[in-house]
Amino acid sequence: MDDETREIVSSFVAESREAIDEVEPLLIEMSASGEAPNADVIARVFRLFHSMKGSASYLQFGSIERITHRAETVLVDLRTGTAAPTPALVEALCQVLDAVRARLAQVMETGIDEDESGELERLGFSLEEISRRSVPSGVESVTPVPTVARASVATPIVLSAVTVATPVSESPSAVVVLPLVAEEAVAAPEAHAVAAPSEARHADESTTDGVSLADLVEPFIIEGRDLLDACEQALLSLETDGEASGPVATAFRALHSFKGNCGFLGYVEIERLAHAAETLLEAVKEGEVPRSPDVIGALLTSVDALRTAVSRLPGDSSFPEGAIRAAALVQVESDARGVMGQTRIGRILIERGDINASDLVEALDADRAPVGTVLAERGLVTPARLDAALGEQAQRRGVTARAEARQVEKPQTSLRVDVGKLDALMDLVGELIIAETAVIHAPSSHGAVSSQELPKALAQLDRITRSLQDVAMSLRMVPIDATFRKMIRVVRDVANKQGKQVALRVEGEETEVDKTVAEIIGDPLVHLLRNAVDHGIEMPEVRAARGKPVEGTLKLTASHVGGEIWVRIQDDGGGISRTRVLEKAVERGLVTAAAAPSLSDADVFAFIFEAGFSTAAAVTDISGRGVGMDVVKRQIERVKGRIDIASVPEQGTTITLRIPLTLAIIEGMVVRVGDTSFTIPLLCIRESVVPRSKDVTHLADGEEIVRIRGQLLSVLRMHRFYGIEPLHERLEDGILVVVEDGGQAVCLFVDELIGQRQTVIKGLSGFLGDPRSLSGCTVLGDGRISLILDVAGLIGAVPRAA
Amino acid sequence: MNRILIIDDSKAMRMIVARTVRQAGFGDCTIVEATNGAEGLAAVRAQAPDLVLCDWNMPEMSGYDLLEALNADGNVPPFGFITSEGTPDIKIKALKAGASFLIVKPFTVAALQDAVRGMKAA
Amino acid sequence: MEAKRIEEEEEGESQLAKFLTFVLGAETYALDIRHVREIIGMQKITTVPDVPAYIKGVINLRGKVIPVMDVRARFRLPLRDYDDRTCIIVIHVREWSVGLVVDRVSEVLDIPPHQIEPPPRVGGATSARFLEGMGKVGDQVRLVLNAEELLGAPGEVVL
Repeated sequence: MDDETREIVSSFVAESREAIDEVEPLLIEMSASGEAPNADVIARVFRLFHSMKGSASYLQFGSIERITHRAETVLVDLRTGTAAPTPALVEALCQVLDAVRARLAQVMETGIDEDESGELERLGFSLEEISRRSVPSGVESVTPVPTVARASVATPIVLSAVTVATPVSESPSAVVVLPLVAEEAVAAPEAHAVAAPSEARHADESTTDGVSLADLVEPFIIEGRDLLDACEQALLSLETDGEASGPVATAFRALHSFKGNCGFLGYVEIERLAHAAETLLEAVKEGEVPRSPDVIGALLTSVDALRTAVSRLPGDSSFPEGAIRAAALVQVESDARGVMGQTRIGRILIERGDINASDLVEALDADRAPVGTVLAERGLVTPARLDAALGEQAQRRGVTARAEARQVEKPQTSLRVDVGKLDALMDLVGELIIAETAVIHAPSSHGAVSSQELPKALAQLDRITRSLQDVAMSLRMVPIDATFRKMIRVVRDVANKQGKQVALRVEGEETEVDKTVAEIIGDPLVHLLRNAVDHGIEMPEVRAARGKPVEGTLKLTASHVGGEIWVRIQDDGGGISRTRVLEKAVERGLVTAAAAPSLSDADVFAFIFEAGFSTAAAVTDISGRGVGMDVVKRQIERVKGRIDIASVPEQGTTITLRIPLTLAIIEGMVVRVGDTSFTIPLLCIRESVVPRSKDVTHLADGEEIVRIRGQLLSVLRMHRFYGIEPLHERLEDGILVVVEDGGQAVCLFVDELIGQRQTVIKGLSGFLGDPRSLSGCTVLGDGRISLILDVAGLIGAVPRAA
Repeated sequence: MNRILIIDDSKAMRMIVARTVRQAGFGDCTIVEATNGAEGLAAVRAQAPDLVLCDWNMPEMSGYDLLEALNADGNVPPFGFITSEGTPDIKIKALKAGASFLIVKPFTVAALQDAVRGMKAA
Repeated sequence: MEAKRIEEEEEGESQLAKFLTFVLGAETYALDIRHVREIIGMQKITTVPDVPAYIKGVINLRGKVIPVMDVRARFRLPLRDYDDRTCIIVIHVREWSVGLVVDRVSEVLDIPPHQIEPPPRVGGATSARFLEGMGKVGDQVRLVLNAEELLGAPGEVVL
């Protein structure tokens, strides 16, 4: 695939994915609301399939093209009111969207659209079937009344493009070729009054909306036969004189016209074969493919098939058996020299001359077993030759895979950015350049004469770099909206599967989070929501018995709190039973029965995150054996976040994910404890004091309390906590840094304050496990490493002040 | 031919059309893009393209409505539709509204060349 | 000591039998070179609390913060002071980069698979559980290490 095509594929996949993500929740909402179908939504869904079909066709993604075509047809029916958006139909559409999504991922990776399992085809048929049955109540299955404006009788429409006068065989293209006939008496559509509406739109049948089609079919058949004859003649002369260039061009033009006409009339199957043949012919024309007897034979066979198909019109445009074979033949020939499919074993065998094309077609026809095996079984290739070819395939695959892996863009590495942010960035860069100049040219202090210029310029530079940093970081921020939207479907599916009724309410979806965070919390959210529906929300009967509304509510909210993003999942379900969790915990030896009562609710619920923990009486296939929660916790920790659980029995559970706002940069106070450097997030620091001995109270158990501005606070001796040899032992000799989190404060005793720094956070390698109360580390200007404190964790570790 | 305006709400499709336009020999033309009928209208008024290649189905304003609007303006540049909608009624509609041609997707180099040739001949 | 960089090669036949050998006390150990990223001299190690004793802390490697393990400690050998031949072998196993402090680095050699015997079942030294096998090189024996076992699981404390 050349770069440009790859770019187009990339855009196509990104664009389609986005559209699917946007449209899916709308579809679901529409079916749930039970009101009249929303025309706007239907229009959007239609456009989604329509656009996808167009590009898929160009990019030769056959199965995507076919299914989007079918879906598009269904959407038209929805639009005209011929079909109604019943839950079944919406479900079918959602399944189609799912399958298409998966196919897009595959296409993105391999550049090929292979529907080996036939899944897309099946879904397509299924969709049509359901659509046919989704007739709005009160309306009979009836052909839609054509709403086309009829041309006034007897007025020929003159085209400035190709007109009737031009001999048809010389005007090849998919441009309107046939004369537009003024509509006089339109052939009454009795023929399809019985047909169900969607059938009337099937491209491979000979009827459309019943607008003077009969008038157009006749010329098509006549011209078609002429074109095919011309093509055949040209091909035959090629057989005898392989070198001539004239005949190839003639054959190509004829086939090309023919194909265009098929498209015009909507004979998709015939068009497809014509297209395949045309592609091969083009390759011959360009000299990419030799004019071997095999190739010409394949082309002639396809012309035959086309002729047969045409002869069956207008009644029956189904494809005769042999024609399918011809199509396969041509396809194989094309494929064998095609750009894609370079590593297919069939192609390799043909290239090595071990088999010929019709052998391959036979093998492909026969079985679902690997082509190579079938060929060997039928003695069409010797095992030794097959092995050699397989070896070559492996080699090519290795190269291709690596090449593709290097080149194929994964959509996640690109980002949609608010243009305003980019403008701000550009402005700042401009200012930066100016400020830099000012610094370079500022007269600096020499001796006694001090100048204000340099410090001023430096201050300005500093201001600009900070702003620049802010904007650059904000570029990575995306609304959490996209992640939340995906949850609508998840909740719906789980609720449906379980026979529960759940409504998902989303708030704060415009809240911006770092791109990485948005990506990483997707999975944990899915799991948590599934859990909430599965274990949280009760069955409708139970809810009714408890006096709750039958429909359960799940609230998913996002907000900025302090320097963090809080994502909350709230359900009004049965809550978590403290007793059950404790039972399980005691059972697993996580806590002794004696210690149990003194644990706070939060501590009890924290046990849920232990691996393998599950209090569910029955393991459902949805949430699994409780293996999920510990994974969820780890995933949240990956983004330096934490999870809090609160629950009230019978009323509901609230799970809060707290994730730091910026992953990358921290504004912190660097302190020294012995030989170790720590960085305390500035946001958490209330103040720093040098204590006086009279403000310090020593408790019997060794704990120290300090009185600061009237408040009594516990002291945490950092050196003792972390096992470091300190510089100072007495509190009065060192510094107390008062830090707080969530309303609780504590004093950290350190040796020295080094200063305020803004630095880049680096994670402490996962290899180190989970050092208590450290949320990472940072590299200071002198290359030393400073450990970043997790204040919330620290505070949690301190015994509460009396 | 100096300036060609391509109107389609799908970026992938615009890329495809632009590429085909280049392959058809119009590589040294300026290519301008618009994402829907309304934008297209503004573009025609502002930039006076020598040729407009327009999709049929678009949000905001469809290709057909755009053409009608241009008719009302009294300023219709050479205008062609590129669309999957190949049904006869659409074609009739398009041509009556003043389109010079309607190309049914797949949109090929040859189709474009023919259409342009046909346009010039008329 | 200068930093030596082992080039990353694609996996292939030529890689299979190459090992980097290093010395701890009286024994010479061998590490599959596919895991080895760099060899650097000793540098300041920042202690990190709450880690097993054999994890000395972290170092700053060109901006990347990498944990460092003292292999003597890992093998329960008596510790010795670091001298100017002590170095850190940076290895990469699974998704982790870890530095290994060793007495000194020896050489890179080929040990074909048939020259490597399974490790002794009866574990005398603690290090037996980290062994992949015993490699015979001429008349010498090199203890071939299993890099994954050597690193262990995160946060795991070896008793």
